[in-house]
Amino acid sequence: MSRFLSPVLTAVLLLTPGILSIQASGAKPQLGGKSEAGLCRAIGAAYRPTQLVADPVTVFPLTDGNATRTALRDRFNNRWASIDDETLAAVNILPASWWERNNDIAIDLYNTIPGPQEVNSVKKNYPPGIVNAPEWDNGVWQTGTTTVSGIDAAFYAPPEKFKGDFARAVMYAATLYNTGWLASIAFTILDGTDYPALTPYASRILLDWHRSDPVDDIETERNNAVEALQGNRNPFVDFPDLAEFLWGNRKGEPYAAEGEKMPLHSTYRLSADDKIHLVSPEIPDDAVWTVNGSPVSTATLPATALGTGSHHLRFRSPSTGTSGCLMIKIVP
Amino acid sequence: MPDDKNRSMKLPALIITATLAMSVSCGHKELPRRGSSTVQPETPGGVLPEPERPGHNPSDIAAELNDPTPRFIYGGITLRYDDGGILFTRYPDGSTVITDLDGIDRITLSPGTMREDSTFLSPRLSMTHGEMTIVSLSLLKRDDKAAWYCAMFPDSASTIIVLPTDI
Repeated sequence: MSRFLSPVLTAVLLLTPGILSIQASGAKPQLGGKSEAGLCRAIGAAYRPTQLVADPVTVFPLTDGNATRTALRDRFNNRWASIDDETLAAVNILPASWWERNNDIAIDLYNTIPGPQEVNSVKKNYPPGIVNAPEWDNGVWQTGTTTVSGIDAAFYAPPEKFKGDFARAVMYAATLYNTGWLASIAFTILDGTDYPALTPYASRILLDWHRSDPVDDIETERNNAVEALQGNRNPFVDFPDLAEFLWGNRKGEPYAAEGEKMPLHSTYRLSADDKIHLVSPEIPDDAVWTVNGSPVSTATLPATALGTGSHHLRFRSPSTGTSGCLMIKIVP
Repeated sequence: MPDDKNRSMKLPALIITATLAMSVSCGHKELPRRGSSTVQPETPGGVLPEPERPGHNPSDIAAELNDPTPRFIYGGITLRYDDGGILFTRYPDGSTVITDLDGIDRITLSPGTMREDSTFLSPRLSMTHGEMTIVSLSLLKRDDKAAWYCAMFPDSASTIIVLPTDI
């Protein structure tokens, strides 16, 4: 009998103890207007799974199966493998053994993909990275060593075709599972902090992979399938430019999704391009504003119209009866 | 029977003592009267000795009461109006939400109904990661710019929360 569940059985599984529910806490924060540590923490809070599948292998036909659910994508051999292939197992992109007191990462489907059991024994607990001196190579992926900061360290190089997928999976893991007790080998990739969460080595390598292998349909479909099972998405698949705001060439800038107005935040630049949009997910749309005590009739103010310094914003919403205040800063 | 009589007299005395200790622990000398628009900072001379007032000393209290900057500082969370990007929102039910627009921290204080002694009935405080138990909440001072509240926590820690009154 197959180890995998049919879609119908999977639907049943969602209502059984095979699914581990996770207690959600508080409202999901918005990402707009946040930068660096605030953005990283907001991603970690907003994109947490609401439940986990206790045995990911059982749902691989849904996340990594072909159209008829008779074969699974084996990224480590660049082939489709029959779901009857008993050598297929769950492979963690970042080794779960790095986390000494958190088992969620071992079964989080964004960190778990199907692959031959051999992959686990060959790549051990190595981090993903560049391999300069291969010790094992099947023509698709490798393990071996690279000298990092003068030290020879073991890595595995993911399949070329999926390096971007692996990078976005690591970025997801780094923002959601960045704290706790980590094994020393984890510090090649993770720095153990809320932010930047990734080491300089990791952010450089992962950004290269992320840029050279952009999101494709395979990854988007997997995101949809995992969302149906875990209740969360990998934001680095949906919003690839998030990586640039956290670690790349837009680091330090407040994030706004493409086409959306930048919500209110703390600091603006005195530039013709920087505008203060009097909007926020936290404030009703019908808010009536004053800036530095004077009423404003427009919803957008150029930073240059206010000038450098601190500015005091107040609002009142006729429909909800709420009122509020905040201060913003405009810097040269 | 004298022992029983002593015991029955000790219980109310203990309750009164505990209540007094809690009410002065945030630096009260006299509790502000309900309805007064401004409560002046206390003078340090009349407060209880240091060991009975966990978390604050008279000069700390005076400095806190002289600073009208809206703020919440407790449990590793610092939200100050003057840092920028910290939104204070007042709701019609009297609750105030403090939100860090650059980050994820969010505090909701629902004081509830104020009693005549300036403590509040059933106050509620929720922080970013969930509800916090507060032993007591009292109003220390209020003027046309801000209101200073003292929240006491089960571990005897306390903090002064300053909320804007002019919004």
